[in-house]
Amino acid sequence: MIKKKKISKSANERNPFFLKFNFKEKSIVLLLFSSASIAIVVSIAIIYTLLEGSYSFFTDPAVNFFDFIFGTRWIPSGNNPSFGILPLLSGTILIAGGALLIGAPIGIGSALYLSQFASKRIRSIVKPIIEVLAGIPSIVYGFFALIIISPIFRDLFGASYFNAASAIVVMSIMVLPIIVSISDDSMKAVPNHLKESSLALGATKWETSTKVVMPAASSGIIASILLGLARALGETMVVTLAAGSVANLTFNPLNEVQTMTAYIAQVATGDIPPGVAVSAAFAVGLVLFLITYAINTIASKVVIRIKSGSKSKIKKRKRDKKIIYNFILIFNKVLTSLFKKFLSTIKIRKKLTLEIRYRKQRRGKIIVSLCLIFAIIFLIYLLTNIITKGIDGLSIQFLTSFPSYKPDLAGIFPVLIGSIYLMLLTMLFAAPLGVGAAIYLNEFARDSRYTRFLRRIIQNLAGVPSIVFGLMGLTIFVRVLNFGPSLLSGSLILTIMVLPIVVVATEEALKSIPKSFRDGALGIGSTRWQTVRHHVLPNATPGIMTGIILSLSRAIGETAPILFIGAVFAKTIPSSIFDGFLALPLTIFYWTRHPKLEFQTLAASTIIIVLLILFIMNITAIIIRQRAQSRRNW
Amino acid sequence: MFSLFTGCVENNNVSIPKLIQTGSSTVLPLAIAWAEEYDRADISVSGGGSSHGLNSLLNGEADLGDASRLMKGSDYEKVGCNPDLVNSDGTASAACNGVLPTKWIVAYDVLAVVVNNNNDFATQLNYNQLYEIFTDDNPAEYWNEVTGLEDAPREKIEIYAPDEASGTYDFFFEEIIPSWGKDDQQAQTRLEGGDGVYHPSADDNVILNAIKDNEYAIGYFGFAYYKENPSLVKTVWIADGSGTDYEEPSLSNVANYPMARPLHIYTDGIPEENNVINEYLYYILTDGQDIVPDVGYVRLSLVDENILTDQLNKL
Repeated sequence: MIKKKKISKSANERNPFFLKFNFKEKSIVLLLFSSASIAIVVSIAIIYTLLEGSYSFFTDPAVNFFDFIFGTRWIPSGNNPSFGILPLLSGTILIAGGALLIGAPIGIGSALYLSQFASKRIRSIVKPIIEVLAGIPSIVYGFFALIIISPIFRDLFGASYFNAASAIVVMSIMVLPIIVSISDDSMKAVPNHLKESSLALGATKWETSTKVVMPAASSGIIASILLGLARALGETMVVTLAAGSVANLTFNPLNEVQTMTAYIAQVATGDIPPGVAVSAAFAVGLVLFLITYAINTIASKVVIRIKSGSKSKIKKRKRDKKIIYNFILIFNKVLTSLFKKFLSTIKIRKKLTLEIRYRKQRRGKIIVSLCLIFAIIFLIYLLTNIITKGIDGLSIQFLTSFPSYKPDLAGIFPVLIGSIYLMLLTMLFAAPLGVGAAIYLNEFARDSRYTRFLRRIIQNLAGVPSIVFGLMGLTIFVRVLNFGPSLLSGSLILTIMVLPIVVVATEEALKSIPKSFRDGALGIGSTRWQTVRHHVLPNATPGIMTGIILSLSRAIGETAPILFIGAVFAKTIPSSIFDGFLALPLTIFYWTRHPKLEFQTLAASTIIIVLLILFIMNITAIIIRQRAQSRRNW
Repeated sequence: MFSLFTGCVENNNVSIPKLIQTGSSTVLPLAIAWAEEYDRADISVSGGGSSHGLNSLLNGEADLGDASRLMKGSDYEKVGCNPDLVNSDGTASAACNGVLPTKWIVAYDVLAVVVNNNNDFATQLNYNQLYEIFTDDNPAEYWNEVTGLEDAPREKIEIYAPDEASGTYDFFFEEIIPSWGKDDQQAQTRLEGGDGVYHPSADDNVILNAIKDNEYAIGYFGFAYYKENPSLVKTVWIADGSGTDYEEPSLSNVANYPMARPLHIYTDGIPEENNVINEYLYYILTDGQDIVPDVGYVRLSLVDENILTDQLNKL
């Protein structure tokens, strides 16, 4: 690659535009590099916020660092407080782990079906439906867990009123859109010649899908799981509503548990005066930050291993001597051998006839389509629930009037406008930043320590609880940069929150463009930016669109990051980016908590509006995506 | 569309001053009602908790900070001021960062203890009985273990109530636990005791539903949640100490009912006359009081006429 660049350079020397070209090229790369590096600035801001908050915690006489890490009781208030983080940790692991255990197989199964077996028509209907799941405000999921799912566990298994199980079930649905969308994109992007070769060798479609397509798309699949995990780790609303607010050291999903994020949100939005219980929330946030960083570090090593395993052995780099790496190797080997043994014991090995292989394909197809059907049934159930509740509140007057304390006068006009401005601004910031960062990481950066670190930091941002973004935004944007509680502050916070989704999705889209495209373009004398601009980016558009849509869907439904910035009542709509604003999720959040039942109908009506906006966004994306895909000929 | 809407709003509001009000989620519905009815200022109202309200006021980001609790020394400490400058009645003896937080009591919140509709044995309780149910000092496990409720069914008590970060929780236990918050505090709450009977939630509607669904549950929350849903749960009549003069929780009976707490708005100093904040506070304390019962809170004059006149005299 480097050699080629040199050749093109010397050829360019006789070109009268050489200098200009070079300058432009360099400044673009610099721009891309800085947009990627913003993640580091943001992480520093988050760590600063967390450290500043937890400083008084660790210096408090009531706190002992050893007890904090190994203590088994978390009782933050009272005259005998105890700060052992293990109960919060167990709650977090139980809920996020459980959600992933259910959500990841269903998500990957659905993606497999969508990308390999579904017809174009089914695909174009189902994919936007699943992406709508991403935008349903988490408070809706929370009530769904508490009111619909929780009674099932209470009646059948004797679970307590608040229980982890209902949160796990609902959260496994919440992580689906991220896992399905990104896995599907990366499986869809596996070059056709790989599939064709496999089919030509006589493999069934099922064998091709599981043994050729899935391994080839493994980096995208793992990235999607990581983003899903991050979503589950950072989720607050579902847990506080359905799982309870008592930190219990237990792994029994029928019990009441509290997660780390739930504690942070509880304290940050409470009335409790500043003190050790409040600063404890920052220490908890710090621990969560470190945990997600550790998970991302390990996962990136797994990705490296899977990649080097799937490629030819010549390229295998000298072995990493680190313990973690070896541990993963051994663990993997044990797991595969166990799995093989397990398979061979339950199956009396018959001759692998074509009939058996096709039967296997049929069975597999049924299983993966079931995954998809499960997701869709759940969504339809959820949607009918919301629509029957909220349809009565919808009217022209509701859309055109201002909020009110009288439910029959209340409307969402400024709320709608506020959210639309917020989304436009967020897109304006997040799209160039995220896509730029992804282009830098994938096209220009060498595989250095710095870029690996950057990647991890970006993925790490996805796991930061949204309430922490809210606290950071309050410190940095509102106070340090003095933007005040304004549209600008709100959209910058949302930008940071959704940045990882845009970056990861774009990177996956870029990775899916065959290397031959780039080689070809470079070979005829294009610069690297020209190659990216004219040959890589146009072909990666569908994937990039997915990323942007997913991220906006996420942003439109989030309450916590803008909780300290957005308002729930105003008589005017913002006229500049420095004005305050109202936003849909905040209004929904406020109305669901309102004592008057009528407001809960209005909250449901507002949710319907959010869903409509999501549908419109998705349909736009589909049109763009399908146009791009129909042009694809590789 | 963009320019059309922004343009016309700007024209209408060129002379109307803008105020920012933020803080306690208990005060929030009330603040919204006032902001809506008061048409001489464009007040944007948001929640986020009492601590956030006081913090925003001290940082100069908000004109009015809502708080369901009194300001504490730690609120000053958080923004780098001397905590000793805050008095025990929630006022400040000196300014912090140029802001002198000034307390205004704007309404009262009645706290209702509620039980399931089928509960016919705990319809009236005194503080001593609440102490046996809600604290970890020799707590009653079954309903018939509560002193005076010997005829109640032998069923396990379940508590659904606000969590420890809420101002309601703090107020409730300040009432029933002697020396609450001091070094010689007599007992801990059952939540802190950790016997799994106290199920906290930050959402009062969730608490309401939990008590509705559990026959042997008890809990407490702001009266507004009962007022709007009187058929879903039952309120408990309360007597102070070990007494038997049980009082009904209601907005009109607030003078006799023992559990009512003041709701506050903090401003920077006493706003000067002709200042819009001054006029807004005047509105809140006079005409604004008429809508207080609609939102589910108690107007000041029902509790103590003197508080009202004292505050009006300052303006």
